[in-house]
Amino acid sequence: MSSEILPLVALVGHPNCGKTALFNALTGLRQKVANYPGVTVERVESDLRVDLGHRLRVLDLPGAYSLNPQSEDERVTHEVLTGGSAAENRPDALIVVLDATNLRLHLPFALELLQLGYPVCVALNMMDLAASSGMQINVRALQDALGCVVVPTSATRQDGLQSLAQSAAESLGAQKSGSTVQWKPSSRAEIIARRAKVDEILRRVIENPGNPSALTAKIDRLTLHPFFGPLLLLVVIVAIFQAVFALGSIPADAIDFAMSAFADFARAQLPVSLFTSLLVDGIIAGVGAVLVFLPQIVILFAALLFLEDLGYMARAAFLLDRLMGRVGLSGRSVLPLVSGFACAVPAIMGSRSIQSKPQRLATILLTPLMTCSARLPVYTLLIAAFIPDQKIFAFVNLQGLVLTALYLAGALSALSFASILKSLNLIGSSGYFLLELPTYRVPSLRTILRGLYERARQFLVRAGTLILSIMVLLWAISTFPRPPEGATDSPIRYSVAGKLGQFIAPVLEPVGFDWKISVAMIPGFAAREVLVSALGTVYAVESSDSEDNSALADRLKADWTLPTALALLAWYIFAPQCLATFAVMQRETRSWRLTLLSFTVLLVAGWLAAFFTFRIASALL
Amino acid sequence: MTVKSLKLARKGDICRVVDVVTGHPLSDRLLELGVHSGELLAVVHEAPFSGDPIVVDVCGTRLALRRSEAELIFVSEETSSGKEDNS
Repeated sequence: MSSEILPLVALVGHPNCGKTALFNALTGLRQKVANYPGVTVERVESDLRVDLGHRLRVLDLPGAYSLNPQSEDERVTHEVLTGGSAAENRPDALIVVLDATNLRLHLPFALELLQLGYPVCVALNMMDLAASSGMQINVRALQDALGCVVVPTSATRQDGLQSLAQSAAESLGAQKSGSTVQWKPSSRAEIIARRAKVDEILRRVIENPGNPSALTAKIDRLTLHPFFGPLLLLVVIVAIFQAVFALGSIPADAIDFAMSAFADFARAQLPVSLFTSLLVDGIIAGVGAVLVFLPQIVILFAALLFLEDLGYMARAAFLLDRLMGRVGLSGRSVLPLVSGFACAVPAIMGSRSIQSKPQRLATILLTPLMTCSARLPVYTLLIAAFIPDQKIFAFVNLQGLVLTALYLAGALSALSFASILKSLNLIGSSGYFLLELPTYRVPSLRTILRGLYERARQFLVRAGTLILSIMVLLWAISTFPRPPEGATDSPIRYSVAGKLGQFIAPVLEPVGFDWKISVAMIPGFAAREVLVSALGTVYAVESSDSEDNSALADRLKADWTLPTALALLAWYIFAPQCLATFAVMQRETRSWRLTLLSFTVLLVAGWLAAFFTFRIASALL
Repeated sequence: MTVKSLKLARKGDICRVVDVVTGHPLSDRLLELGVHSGELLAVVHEAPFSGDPIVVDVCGTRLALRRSEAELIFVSEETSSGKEDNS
C-alpha cells in the first residue's frame, strides 16, 4: 500500500448484527457513498474517527449470512471478499461483527471468514444487551478458540470502540492480506461441520446463556397478534401517510412561499429582460421545484429508517406478505406505495428497503399510479368547474364521489398493472420469503440522522440537478421564439412549446382536447399542478391570487364540454406529467429504458382512459 | 415417532428437525440460519387470516417463512401445546 492510499478495513457480518450502528460510531461524519458497479447496492466508506495517530479507511460491507450469496447485497460482499472485484477495492483487514446475544447463529460466518486468510479481529457487539439479559461470555476463551483478537463492543453505548480500532490497526501489520486465498463454496457437509465446531466452542465460551430474546418474544406477542398485529400496522401506515401528506405540506408550503417571494423580489429589482425571465421563471422556479420535495422525503425516510432500526419492518413484511405476494409484490412494498398517495418522489426512493430487485422495480413502476397530492389542484379545479355540487341518494356529495372514484381508479389500475407484470413473468415468481425477525432494539439517532442526511444529499445531487435542468429546458421552449410585434395571442402560442402543443393536438383531438389544452400540457410535464397555471397562461386569464382559480374555472366552463373535462380527469389518473418522478425513477433504477417504458405506458394508458371516457360521455350526455 | 413436513405445523407446535431437503436453492441457507437436524423448533406465530407465512423459533433465532418454504423442513413432533419458548 502506498502512502497515498490509506489501509482499508471492512466491517462484515450478518444483516442484524448492529454493523451499521458500529460503523457510524467508529467513523466521522464525512461518508463516501457510491454504488457498486452495475447494482443498486450502496458502497459506504468513511475515515476512522477514533484517534490512533494514523488514519484508516473503514468500509461498511452489505450484511450477509454467508459467502454463499442469495441476494444482491450478499453478492457484493462475496465479490469484494473473494476476489471477484478489482484488487484495489479489496480490504486489507476485516472486522467481523457478531451479535453477542446470538452467537450460535453468527459464529459460523466468522469461521467461514477466518478461512479467507485476511487479518481479522472480531467485534463482539451488543454486549450491553447480552449482559442485561444475564448472559455471561468468556471473551478470552472465545479469543483462544478463534485465534484472533475479540473486542467486546456496544455501538449504542459507544463501548469498546477505541480498543476495536486499535486491534484492527494492529492486525494490519501482523498478517499478510488474504488476497491469494482461493475461495470455494462451502459444501453442505462443511456447513454442518462448522455448526458442530461452533457448538463445541460455545460449550467453553458461554458461562450463562441468559434469555436475550425474552423481551422481543413479548413484544412480538402484540405486534404479530392475529388481531392487534394488523391493527397496529394499519395505525402505523395511516400515521406515516398523514405525516408525509399533512406534516410535509407545512414546510413544503413554506418553501413554495419563500421561493415565490424571492422570485417576486428578483422580478421587482431586475429590469424586464430575458435574463430576468431565465432567472425567475427558469432557475428560481426550478430550484423551488426541487426543494419542495425535501420535507416529504425527510419525513418518509425518518419513519422508514426508524422502523427498520427498531426491527419492525421485518414484522410488517411478515404481516403483509400474503396480501402483497398475491400481486407479486413484497410486504415491504406497502409503505412506499401508500406514501405514493402523498408524493411519488419520496415513495420511489423509499422502495430501497425492498431487498428483492424485481419486487423493488415493480414497486417503483407502480408508484406513479398512486394518486399523489399534486393531482389535487387539477382535480379540484375541474371538479369545481364541471361537477355540480349536489347530493345524490340524499347524503352522497357528487363532487366527493367523483374525487373518490379518481383515487380508487388509480389504486385499482396499480393492482391490475401488478397482475399484468406478474402474468408476463416480469416480476418473476413472488420469490422466496425467508426472513430473520431481528431482536427489537432502541433505534440509534445517529444512524437515522446519517441516513436522512445521505438521502437528502443524494436527492439534491442526483435527481435535483436533473430536475433543475429539465425545468430550465421547459422554460426555454415555452419562451422561445418570442411573439412577433403586435401579437395578440398568449406569448406561449408562438414558442416551441406552443408549436409542439399544436403539433400533438391532432393526437389529442380524438380524446376531446383542443389545441389550447395540448399547449398547456407541454409545460405541464414539469409537474401536474403546473397545468392549472399553464391553462391560465394559454387562456390569458389574469389571476393575482394563485389560490383563487374561479376566473379560470368560469372560462373553462364556457369553453369546454363536460365530456372534455371528464376525459381530462381520466387522463390525469395515469398521465406521466411529473418530471421529478421520472428523474428519480431513472436515478433509482439506473435504467433509462425502464424509465422511458414506464413513461410511455402511462402516456398510452392516459390516452386510452381519456379516449373511452370522452366517447362514452359524449354518447351518454 | 411420526415425521411430517413443517408445512403442516400449527402455531404452538414444538418439533425436532429431522431433515432439510437438499438441492433446493434455500437448503443451504436454512442450514446457515440454524435449521439443523436435531434442533428444537417452535412455531411461535402464524400470519393473520391465512396462517401463512409462519414464524419459527430455532435456538433463539426467529425466522419468518412461507409454508411453501417450510415444506423443505421435515420434523418430528415433540409436543403440540407446550411452552412457547425453547431457548
